[in-house]
Amino acid sequence: MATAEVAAAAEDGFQPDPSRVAQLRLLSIACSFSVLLLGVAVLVGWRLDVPELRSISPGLPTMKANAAAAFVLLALAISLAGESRMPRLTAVLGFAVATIGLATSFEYLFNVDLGIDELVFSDPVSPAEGVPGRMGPNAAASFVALGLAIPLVRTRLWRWSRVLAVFVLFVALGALLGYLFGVSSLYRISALSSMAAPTAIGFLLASIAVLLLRPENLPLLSTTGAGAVTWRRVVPVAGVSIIVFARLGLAGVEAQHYDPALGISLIALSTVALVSALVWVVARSLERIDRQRLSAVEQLRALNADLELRIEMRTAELVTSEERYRSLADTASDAIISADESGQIFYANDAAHALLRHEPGTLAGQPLTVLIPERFHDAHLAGFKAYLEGRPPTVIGRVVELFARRADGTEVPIELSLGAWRGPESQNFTAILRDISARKDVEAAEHKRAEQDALVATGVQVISLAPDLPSAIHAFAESVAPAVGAERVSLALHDSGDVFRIAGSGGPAGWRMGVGETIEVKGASTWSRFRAGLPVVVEDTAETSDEPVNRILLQRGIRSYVSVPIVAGGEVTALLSFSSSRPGMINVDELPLLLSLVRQSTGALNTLMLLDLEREATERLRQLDELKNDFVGMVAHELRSPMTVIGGFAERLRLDDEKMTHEERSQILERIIANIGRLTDLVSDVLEVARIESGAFAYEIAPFDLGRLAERTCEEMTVGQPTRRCEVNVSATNPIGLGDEARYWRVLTNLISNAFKFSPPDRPVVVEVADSGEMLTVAVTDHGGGISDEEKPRLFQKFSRITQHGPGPKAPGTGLGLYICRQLVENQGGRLSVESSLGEGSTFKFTVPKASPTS
Amino acid sequence: MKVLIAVEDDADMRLLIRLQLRSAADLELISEVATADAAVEAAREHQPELVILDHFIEGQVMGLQAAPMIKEAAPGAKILLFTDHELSVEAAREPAIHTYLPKQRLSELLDVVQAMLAS
Repeated sequence: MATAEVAAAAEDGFQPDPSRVAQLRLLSIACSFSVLLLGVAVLVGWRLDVPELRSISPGLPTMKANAAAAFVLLALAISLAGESRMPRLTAVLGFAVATIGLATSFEYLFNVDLGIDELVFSDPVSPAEGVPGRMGPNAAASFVALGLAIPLVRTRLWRWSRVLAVFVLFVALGALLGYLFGVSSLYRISALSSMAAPTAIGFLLASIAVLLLRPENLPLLSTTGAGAVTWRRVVPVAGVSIIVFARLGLAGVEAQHYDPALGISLIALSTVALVSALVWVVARSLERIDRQRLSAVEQLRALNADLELRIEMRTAELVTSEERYRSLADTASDAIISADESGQIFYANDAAHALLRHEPGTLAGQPLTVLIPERFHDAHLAGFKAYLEGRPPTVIGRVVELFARRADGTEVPIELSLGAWRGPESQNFTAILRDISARKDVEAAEHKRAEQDALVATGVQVISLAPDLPSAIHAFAESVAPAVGAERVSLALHDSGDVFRIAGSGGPAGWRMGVGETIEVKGASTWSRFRAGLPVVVEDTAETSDEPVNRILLQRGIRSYVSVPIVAGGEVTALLSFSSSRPGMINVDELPLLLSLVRQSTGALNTLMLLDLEREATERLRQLDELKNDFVGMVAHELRSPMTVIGGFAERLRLDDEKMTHEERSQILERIIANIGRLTDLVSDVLEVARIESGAFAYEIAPFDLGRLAERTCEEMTVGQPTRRCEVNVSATNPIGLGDEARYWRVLTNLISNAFKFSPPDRPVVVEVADSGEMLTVAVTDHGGGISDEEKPRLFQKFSRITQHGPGPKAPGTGLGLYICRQLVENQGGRLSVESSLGEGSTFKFTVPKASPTS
Repeated sequence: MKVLIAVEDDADMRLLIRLQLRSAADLELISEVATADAAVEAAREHQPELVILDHFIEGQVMGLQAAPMIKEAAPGAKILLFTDHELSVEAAREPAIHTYLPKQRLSELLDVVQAMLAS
C-alpha cells in the first residue's frame, strides 16, 4: 500500500462521510415534512372538530391550535433553512415561532391573558387542562428554543442552535416517556398545563430536523470514526432497548405477573445483558478497526522508515558525490564555475579565481556578467533567457572559444564547455574554463610567422623576377614595405669610403629617391655598425640628428628607418633601407622580419647587383669600343687628309713637270715632306694614345727639378728661332717635383709649342713654376686670341681642333696633343686645366706632386 | 673665260686646286678664301660661274651651311662641294649644291669642273 493511501485511510474516519451527510439531510427533510403534516392535521382536527386528530386518545391533553400553527411555521422554517435559501424569510419564520412561544411564556410568567390562546379556534374541550387554547409552558419554551435555533444554524453561533435543539429533544423525549410509562409528571408541568402527545412527537421530529440541518456539525452521526460508529451503534439500540425492556417490565408488574422488585431486577438484568452484548459487539468491531489502523500505521511507519533510509542514503550519496565533486573541482587545474538560473555564481574553484584574477573565494555570490566582457553582455543575457524559456541551447553541451573578463578589466581567451543541470531549487549551469592564451599566442605567432614567410618569399620573388635593380627595389617596396610599416624602400650601393649611391628605391606613394644620388653615411656609430654587418634602427631622425646621416635623411623627410647592410666577401656592398615619413613607424620589433627579408633577398639582390655591374661593365666596354671605333675613324680621317695632299702633289709632279718652274717644283716637294712629317707625328701620337689608354704606359717616378726642366725646354723650343721668345719664371723656392721627368718634358713641349702657334711673334710665351701648397704648379701663358667657353670642354678631347681666334695660321697639330698631356698629368696625380678669355690669351696650368710634401 | 672661286682653309689643298685648274686655259681662279664670310663676299663681288667649296673651313659656318648663302650672293654660280668628309647624302639634299666630289678623287677635279660648266 502506498504511503498516501495509508495516510488517507487513517484520516478517513474523522472526515464527514458525504453519503451519510446526504442521508441525514434527507432525514431532516423527512422530519420537517412530518412536522408540517402533523401541524396541518391538528389544525384540520380543530377545524373539523375531530378529537383524534388533536390528541392521540380522548382524555389525554390536546395539541392546541396555536401550537399546531407554530409547528406549520416551524416546518416551513426548517425546510427553508435546509435549502439555505432566503435566509431572511427563514429568520422571520423562526422569530414568528419564537414569538408565539415567548408570548405564551409571558402569559404564564405574569399570569395575564394576551388573548392569543383562542385567536384561531375556541377551545371548548379542555377546560381541565387550564386556560382554554393555551399550550403548556414546556411547549412554549420549546417553541422559543427551536424558533431561535433555526436562524442560528447558518451563523457562527451554530453551536447554540445545537444546544437549543438538544434541549427540545430531551423535553419532547421526556414527555413521550411520560405518556409511555403513564408518568404524567413527565409531560405535565402543573395540573392545568401539560404537553400533548402529538405535540411531544412534533417537537421530537422538529428538534431532530433542526439538529440534522447541518449533519457535518454532528461528527458522531456523520463521520466513520470509531467513536462515531460506537455512538451510533450503542446509543439508539441501548436507548430503545432499555425503554422497551422497562416498558415490558412495567407491563409485567401492571399485569401482576411479578412484583415490582422482580420487575425492576429483570429490567436491570436484561439491560445489563443487552448493554454488555452491545458493547462486546461494538468493542470487537472497534478492535478490528483499531487493528486495521494499527497495521496501517505500522505500514506507514515502515514506509516512512524506508523513505528516511532512502533519503539518508541518497543524502549520503549526494554528500559523497558533492564532496568528491568539490574536491575534484577545487583541485582541478581548469577553472570551474557554477551559477544558478538567476545568473548568480554559487561556486568557483581556486583555478577560476586564479584565471580570472579574483581574490580567492570572492566569486561566489557575484553575477556571471562580471566575468563576461561588456560587449558580450547582451548576447549572454539573451542566450541565457532563451535557454530558460526552453529554446534549444546554443552554447550548452559544446566547447566554444570565448573571451573572459578578468578582475583588472583585461581579457583572456578561454575555451569554455558549459553544462546545464537541474538542482534542488533551480536550473544550474556549470562551466569549465581553460586558459588558451598560450595556445592563442602560439597560433598568432605561427600565423605571423607564416605571414612573414609569405612576405619574405614574396620579397625574394619580386626581386628575382625583376630585370634590374631599380625595378627590383621598386617592386620590392610595393609588395613588402606596407607590411613592415615602411613607406619607402631603397637600395644604396657602396661607392667608396662612406659614400653610397642609390641604385633603386620605391614605395606605395610612388616616392623615389633619385637613383644615382649619393648619400654620405657620415657618423661614426652608423658607419661602424654597417661595417660590422649590423643593422641600424632609427626611430626618429629628429631626435638623433647629431648623427650627420640622420640630419641628411631628416632633411629629405625621413623620420624613422631601418638600414640593413648587405655584406659580400667581408665588404659592405649595399644598404637596404626601409623608411617612413612618420617617427616610430619602424621599430625594433620589425627588425627580425626585416633581417630575415634582407638575408633571404641578399642572394637575389647580389645577383642583380652583379648583373648590374656586368651590365655596367658591358656598357663601358661598348662605350670604349665605340670610342675605339670613333678613334679608328678619326685616325683614318686624319691620315687621309695628308695622304690625299701627298698623292695630289705627286700626281702634279708627274703630269705637269715640264710646265713647272724650279721654285714650284721645290715648293711641292717641301709640302710633300711636311705632310709626311705630319703623318709621322700623327702615327706616333696615335700609338702613344693607344699605349696610355691600354694602361701599358710606364712612368719612371723620381724627384726632379721642375724649374730647371722648364728653363731647358724653353731654350730648346727657341733655339734657332729668333722670332720666338720664351720667359721662364720660377717662384717656387724648392721646385722639386716627383714623377717621370720625360713625360713632363713632353707636356711642356706641347703646351709651349701650342702657345707659340697662337701667340703673335712679338709677344713672349711665359712659363711660371709656382708652389701651390701641396703641389707645384706650372702655368704656360700665351697672348693669342683666347678660347671660347664652349670650346673649353672639348679642348682636351681627342682630335679636337682649337679654333684660332684672331690672326695667325691654322694650327697644324694632330688634335691629340692636349689629350695626351692631360692623360700624362692626371696619371701622375696632377691636373691640367685652362684659363682663357677671348682676346686675352690663354693660360694652361698643370700640377705636379712635390718630392717632399712638407716643404 | 670662266671665273671660279675656291673656298679652302688648307694651304696645301689650295695649292693643289690652283695647280690643277692652271692647265685649263679658259678657267680663271679669281679668288681663294678660307672662311664662309669671305666666300659670300667674294661671290657677290665676282659673280663666279663655279665655286669649289670645302666643308671643313675656318670660322663658325661650315661649307654645307655656307652653300645657300653663296648661291644667294651669286645666283649664277654652280657650287661643287669638295671635301674629305663623307657628305654625299647631305650634299644631294642641299639644292644650292650642284655636285659633290670627295677629296680623294682630287685627280678628277678638273674634269668635274669642266663637266659642270658645260651642263
